[in-house]
Amino acid sequence: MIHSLDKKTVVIEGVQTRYVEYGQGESVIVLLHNGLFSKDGFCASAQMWEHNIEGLGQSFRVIAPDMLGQGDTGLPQMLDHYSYDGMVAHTRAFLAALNIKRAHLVGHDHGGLVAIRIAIEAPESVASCTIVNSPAVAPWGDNVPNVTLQGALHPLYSRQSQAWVLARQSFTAHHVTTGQLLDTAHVHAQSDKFSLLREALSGNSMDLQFVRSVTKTKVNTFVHLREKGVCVPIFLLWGTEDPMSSSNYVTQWGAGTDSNSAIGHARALFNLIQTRQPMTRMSFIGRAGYMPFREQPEVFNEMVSGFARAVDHKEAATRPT
Amino acid sequence: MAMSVSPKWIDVDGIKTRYFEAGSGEPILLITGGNFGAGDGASIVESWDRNFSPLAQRHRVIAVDKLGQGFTDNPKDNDYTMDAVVRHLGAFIKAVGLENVHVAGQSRGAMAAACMTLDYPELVRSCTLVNTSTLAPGVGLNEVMLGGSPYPHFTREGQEWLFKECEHDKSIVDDEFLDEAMKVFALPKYIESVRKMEQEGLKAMLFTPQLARLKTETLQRLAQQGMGRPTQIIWGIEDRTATLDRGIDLFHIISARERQTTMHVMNSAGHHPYREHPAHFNEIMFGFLKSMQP
Repeated sequence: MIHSLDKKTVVIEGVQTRYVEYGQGESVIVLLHNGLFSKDGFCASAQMWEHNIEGLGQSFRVIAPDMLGQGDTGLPQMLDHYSYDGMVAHTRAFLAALNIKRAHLVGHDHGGLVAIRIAIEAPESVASCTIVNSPAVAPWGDNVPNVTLQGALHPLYSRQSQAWVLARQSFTAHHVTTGQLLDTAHVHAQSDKFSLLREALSGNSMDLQFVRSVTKTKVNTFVHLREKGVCVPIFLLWGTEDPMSSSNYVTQWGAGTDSNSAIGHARALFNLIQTRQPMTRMSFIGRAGYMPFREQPEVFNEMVSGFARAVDHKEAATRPT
Repeated sequence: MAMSVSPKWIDVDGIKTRYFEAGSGEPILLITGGNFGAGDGASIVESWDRNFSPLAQRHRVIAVDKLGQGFTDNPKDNDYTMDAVVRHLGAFIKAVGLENVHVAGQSRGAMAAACMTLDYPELVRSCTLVNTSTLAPGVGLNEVMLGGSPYPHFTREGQEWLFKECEHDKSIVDDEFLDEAMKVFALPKYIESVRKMEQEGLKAMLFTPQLARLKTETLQRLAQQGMGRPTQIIWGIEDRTATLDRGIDLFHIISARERQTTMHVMNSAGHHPYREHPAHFNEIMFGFLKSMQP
């Protein structure tokens, strides 16, 4: 098990970008972690994938960057890059800088939205797109806002408060203290860069910018998926007991199949994508929450590498010789 | 030949049983759907022809003709029940000497796989359930969607019609698949089983009511004691007899009591997702077995 991730550095348009690279193989898996500039009370980074990089690296070359403004990667150089557009542009430039011409993208929540944006904008560079428990991508419908992270422990971004966030997002919280995620998040929260980030995000105008960025990116994506579709194989991978799904009050009545709101969100997204993409898969991991890759890493790793292998296999079979 | 190896035969408590076997490693038992005495369409073990050899590259794979299906003898003493099918499968894996078997069943075969996991826990290591209206709660639509074949019993056209109704990609119902079914239709013992089920009324008076009772009991056992083994459900969404809603209901029942429960949903696939997307199905099986290694 990899605990301390050895990171490399590349400078992307002036932003120092840190990433993990592990394993060998012709086929590349890129892991895009969650978080929108650490707004949710937790400092996410590539360390999120500490239980997956080695497993996936058995048969793939695995690349896991710290996303723009998060982990050890630098802050955006322009204010309007504090947005999905900024994250997508940075990630695309990162992949180009590493000369990765084609990769299986795996994105968790916000990272999933970045992944599917790249699949839409630059499909030739994407072998397949896997979206993991992603309220950021999935249709939300008329559901009430998620309140799982309300009333966070103070002081915010302390070690205890960040542990509280991870536990709240989980079905079983055993993974919170295994590995070095919490230590890493604590170090990030103590850094000067993080103070600068909080300062940059402190104005009311930034909140508005985020709301508009999320809405615009989501709606544009829905329209594209509805009208044109996405031309790479899609894999939706969901822990079914995800507290970050909407607290849809239908659950109180236990009514019907979609009373499980995580499955309901995943199915809505699946239905949207599958009508135009003939290889759309959706898998559920029972008894796992928002981070199934941490709660059940062996199951998750086998699912992700199996999907990528099946896609590669099919591609090799249809490639002209 | 469809399964790439010659069939083997074994006597299982007086039932001459045909099966295919290849590879080495942890054993996987592939269980076909359907039941004996179906004249409108024969479910045949060769439906696994795109999985048998690839899976055998890493595992010992056994695909068996269920009691009364394919070339395996009919039930004795007019015991035309799913209970008899499950008992025969249990006796079969003991006769072959298998242990820690990964059972994988589709449609009616998934009912058999679940019952084997519950009835023979000492022999079963994991359970894979594929598109099964028989086991999933709710109303099955088999007779609605697959009833009223325009072709007579025991015909190639009837077999082709029925199985094409089940699939997304109709081209997978190919000549080789139809050839194998026609061999089964030509067997005197198969014709006898159809006569017993239909003319002698065993289907309406014995098989169907017993299957309904078994389904109720099995779902109750799953809800109360749980499967007790890692379980995965695999579902093609264009199955008109077993809708995805019902597959997800089955997932909830099993996941509530089984620590490792997963579900895989595929589009562009009907009742036999393992034939329509063999590369995905085979990778799912490999990954499932690997994920439970200590």
